[in-house]
Amino acid sequence: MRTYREEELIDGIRDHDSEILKYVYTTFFPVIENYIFHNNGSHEQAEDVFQEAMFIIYERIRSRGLSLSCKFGTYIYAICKNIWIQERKKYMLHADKLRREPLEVNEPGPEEDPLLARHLEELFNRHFGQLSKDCRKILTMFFKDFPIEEIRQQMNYKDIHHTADRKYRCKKSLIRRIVNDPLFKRLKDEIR
Amino acid sequence: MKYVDPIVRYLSGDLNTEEKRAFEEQLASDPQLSQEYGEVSAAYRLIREGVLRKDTEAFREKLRQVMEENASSVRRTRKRYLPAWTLILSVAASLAILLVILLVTLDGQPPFARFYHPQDDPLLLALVQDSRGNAAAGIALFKREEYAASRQHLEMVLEAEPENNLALLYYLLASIETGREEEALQKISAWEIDPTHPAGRAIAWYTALALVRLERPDEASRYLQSLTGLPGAYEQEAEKLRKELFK
Repeated sequence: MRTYREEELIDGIRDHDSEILKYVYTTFFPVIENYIFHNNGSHEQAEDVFQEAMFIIYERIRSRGLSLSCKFGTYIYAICKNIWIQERKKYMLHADKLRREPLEVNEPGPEEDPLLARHLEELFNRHFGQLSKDCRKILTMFFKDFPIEEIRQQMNYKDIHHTADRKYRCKKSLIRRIVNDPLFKRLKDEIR
Repeated sequence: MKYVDPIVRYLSGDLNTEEKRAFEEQLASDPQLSQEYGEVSAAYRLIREGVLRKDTEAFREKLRQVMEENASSVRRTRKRYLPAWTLILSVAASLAILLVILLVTLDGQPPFARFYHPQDDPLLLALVQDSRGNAAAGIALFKREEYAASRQHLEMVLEAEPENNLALLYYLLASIETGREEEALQKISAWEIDPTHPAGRAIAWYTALALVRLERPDEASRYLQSLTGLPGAYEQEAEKLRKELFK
């Protein structure tokens, strides 16, 4: 299997590249699994930890970019180790707490209203799904902070001006659909 | 909606400094702009969150797919990153066991008695030294020769943690000691041999010995072959035992 530079791995993860994800999994998961095994974990737990680490890395790449000062393998191994240590601590604390304290039933509920969240998600999904495939792709790249030139290349547009114009029209189209939806009009005061 | 265009441009960061300043001044003084800004910015936030949420879901799904498609290849090519001392200990274990076998061979004992020495096995000692967690108590019972209690404890651990190799190994040993190896062998028959891992090799070795004791040399041979096929602990004694069984 070919090897990849750190920048290629980061870009591949950001782009959901199957070859890169396969490389990362087949190369680094066995080492992480071995660590989990040696620290009283199971195969399933190793998979969960690996997935969790990948989500953390993905969120970091997407939100503020990722610039590594070490090898990617070292980085993901450190994150997995940290996750596993935290998980074991939580397990031990929880077990200890259950032994020492009675079960509390007056737990506070979730901070967000789950019904509102579900309505908003449905509202978004309905209108986003009605956009053209190109618009959906452009908006996804925009909100993932892809540079305009990269959006142009991926969409195969002739120039940046055309790309910016398409991006703007897709956004406006979606905003108008949502703002004119009766459900949005009912919910808008709750989401501001 | 009169002001959608400038609001979208403002929220997208597409206004230059002068345009942005002018927009913000108007926002502070124009009630209609202010009202529309409230609605459009709420929709903009909703869109941003929705797009990123869908993107995260797509990534999770893609990762899950990749892991599923490549799980078997990971199992086949799994590398065990062993600390150097376990490799040295593997060699020492093989030599120590061979020495014991050589010393007792002169007594003419049956193969099982000649090859089965878990209390003198340096590899088991190494594995146990590195162990923590739920199997530790069962292993401690085994070392104190409280085999029935050890077996019972480790059986419970395996119910909760079927992939706990150390628990499985000592459950097997305790089962051998209590004459209940048949039950342990049933659990092991569903277990995938991993000859690249020290605990895996130990399980394969003692499973072979349990089968030898039950006079099932053909089944024992399968486990012995997994040890002779790859260099590591028990390789030499597995070869020796195999030759003895089929001479």
